[in-house]
Amino acid sequence: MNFIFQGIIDGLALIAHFDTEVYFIVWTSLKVSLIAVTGAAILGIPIGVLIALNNFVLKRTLIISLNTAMAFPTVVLGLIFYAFLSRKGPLGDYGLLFTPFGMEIGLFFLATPIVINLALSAVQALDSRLFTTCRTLGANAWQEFRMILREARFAITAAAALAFGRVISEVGIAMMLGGNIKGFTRTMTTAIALETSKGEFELGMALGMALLIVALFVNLALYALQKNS
Amino acid sequence: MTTLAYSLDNISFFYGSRRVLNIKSLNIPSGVVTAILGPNGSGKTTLLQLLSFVEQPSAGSISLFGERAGRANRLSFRRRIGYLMQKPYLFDMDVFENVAWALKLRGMDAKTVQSVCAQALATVDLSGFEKRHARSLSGGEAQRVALARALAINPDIFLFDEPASHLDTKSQSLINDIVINLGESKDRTVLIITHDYSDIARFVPNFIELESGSLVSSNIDS
Repeated sequence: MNFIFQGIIDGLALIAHFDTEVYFIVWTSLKVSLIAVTGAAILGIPIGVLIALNNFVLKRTLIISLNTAMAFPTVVLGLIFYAFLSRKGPLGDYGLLFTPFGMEIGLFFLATPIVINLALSAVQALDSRLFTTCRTLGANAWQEFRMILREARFAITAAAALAFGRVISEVGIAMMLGGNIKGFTRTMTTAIALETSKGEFELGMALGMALLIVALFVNLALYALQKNS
Repeated sequence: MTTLAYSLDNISFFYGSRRVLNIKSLNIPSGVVTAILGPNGSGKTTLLQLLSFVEQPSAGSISLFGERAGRANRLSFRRRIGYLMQKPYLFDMDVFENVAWALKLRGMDAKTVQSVCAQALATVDLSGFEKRHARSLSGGEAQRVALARALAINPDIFLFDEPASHLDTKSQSLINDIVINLGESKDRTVLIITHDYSDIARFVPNFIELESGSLVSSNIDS
């Protein structure tokens, strides 16, 4: 047990002393995750709302596919994008493999089905009188869309937060598309795996705690947003 | 000659494979109050939804003031209509914002919005309720906010779906008074669904009666 407690204490010391390496890794994780989730939200929320509001052939099949995509193993997703981004792959000429942008692409595809699916569920859970009310009050499609987002804001914010949680805590895509390059693509999860395997338990523990702190702050921000609204 | 607010031609509406409305021809004059009568499931609310242009008929056509409804003019038609549901939906915001929303989306300036909202809320006896959250209101108050919202947009046509059912006496009489005033103004067309025509017959002489989705009687002289 001493070994664990010592690891926690040493980890806290690294955070408290503003260890450059720790903070750069945290910053990289936050940056790629935020960019991926922002992109996923911009694309996924309107798609989720559109799917929820419209009836079309294969809608059920699409929803089942989205549910499946939510549970997609990140290593497999990483593997697929590795094939596309690697030198031999169709996007190899762009040199995106082992770059933050390459990671962001993979993480974006991890987050998007989550955002679409949860935005879809959020809109389906709304009272159907909302849509009639918007239309009878003379809203055009864009004004109605904005009101729908407003009415579903808590659930949609929670969808984005959940996607962020999934993205920042995954290791497969970050490892395969980022390559865990020190000072460039090393994220909290890849660093934890590496440092622990090297026996650098303190650094792994510090990053583990940083990951938990980030998760805590995301949830606190969400709670504050809901309380203020 | 009477101006027609609505002209319905061979209208039918299906929910799935079930036909819920089938009206060969119906003309509704403007400037009068008309009651829509009929038992549960007779198609009254469906008819009102078609007349509000929220739903589109499966077949047939509807004209508003002589202009046939289509994709291009649906939004402008909707903006000429105030619709009050039996159970209104109020947005998750305060009373003022609920009334103001429809005005803002019509591009009205903030000062006009303020005064129009204040006037509409005064009409439904809810002055001072502006900052109250809409979801904290009683059923009667919520219905009056929804009515204020419809009045504020100053539409040519009002569609009321049993607006006073399940409400307290005060709200019922207030809503009835507003319907009477709208009828007396002669420049507004009002269609009101009611279960109990005897309640409003004294101030709503015109009626159409539906049964199983079909028009079975009417005293409208169009």
